[in-house]
Amino acid sequence: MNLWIFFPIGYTFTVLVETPILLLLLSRRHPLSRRLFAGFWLTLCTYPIVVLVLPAAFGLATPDPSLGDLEFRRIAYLVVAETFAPVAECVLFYVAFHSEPGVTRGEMARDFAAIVLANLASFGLGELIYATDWFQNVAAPWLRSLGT
Amino acid sequence: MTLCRNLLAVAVALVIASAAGANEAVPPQPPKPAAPALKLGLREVPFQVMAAPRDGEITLVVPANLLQEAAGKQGADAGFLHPLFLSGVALTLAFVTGGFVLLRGGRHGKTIAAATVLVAALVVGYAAQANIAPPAIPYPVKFPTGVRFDGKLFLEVAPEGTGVKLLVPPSRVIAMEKMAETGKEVKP
Repeated sequence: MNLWIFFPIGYTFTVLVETPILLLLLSRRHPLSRRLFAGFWLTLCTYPIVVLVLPAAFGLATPDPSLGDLEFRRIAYLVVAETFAPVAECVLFYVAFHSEPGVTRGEMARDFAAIVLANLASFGLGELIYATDWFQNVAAPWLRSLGT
Repeated sequence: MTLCRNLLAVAVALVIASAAGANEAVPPQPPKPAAPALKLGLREVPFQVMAAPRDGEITLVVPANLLQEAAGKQGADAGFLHPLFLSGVALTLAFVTGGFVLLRGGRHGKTIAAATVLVAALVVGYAAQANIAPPAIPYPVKFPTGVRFDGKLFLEVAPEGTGVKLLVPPSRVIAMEKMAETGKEVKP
């Protein structure tokens, strides 16, 4: 699938999964508006790297059989992408919101745990969708039916 | 006198050097890259039968990279100039900057953040315009038992792709589906 078509669909899905987790689990020192902003912004910052840059780096954007085992490259991509996303989001969150005075270690740990958990949830659901070929079996026929 | 002699020596050296430079042999031109050779022989490639986005003849789509011997690698070997690399990095930088400006920008923060969103939209728009596929989404097709294809077939060599695709026009797909239901051959 063209990654530029997938980008908005995947981003919306990720935000829908991650934002409620961040709203619930980020520490109480952050107002609701900030948690909501974090839900949209953190994913927005890492998603282009995860969906556009890394697939190109691992030769998944335009798969070429001569690059080697596709499944191995997909697993390598997942390891790198799913490590990069939570780490980068934690760093961004730290720089953006933890530079205020009076942030405790406990609050910081809780925020990072919430970000990691949100990423794991979206990764897990994404893999479930991939494993059941949901897009090809459900979304594509539905999109086609809209067009006819 | 010594000064004059030294100046003369320098002038002579300069004249000799410039003459040598002017007569320097033309550096050898890099050889022009040869056209990628046609890959011969038997090999395994992914194969899909799909419904075509629009009606027409049955088309066999073969990506060029399957036919050519190491014809300019895509993906990892395309390096940092791959359009997805550039667009992805540009978008990330725009969103990170825009977010921080929105958070801390002060008086002009919102204007700069709006400008960032505009830049991001331009990047997405440009890239989408350059890369986007036709809006119709091809979907996999299953052949019912006993289906026959004969007559004309279009062969399309695509600039890129993952494997060989057989695109079946929608009218024929409907005919095949009816045939699968009724067990009788239906003309498209």
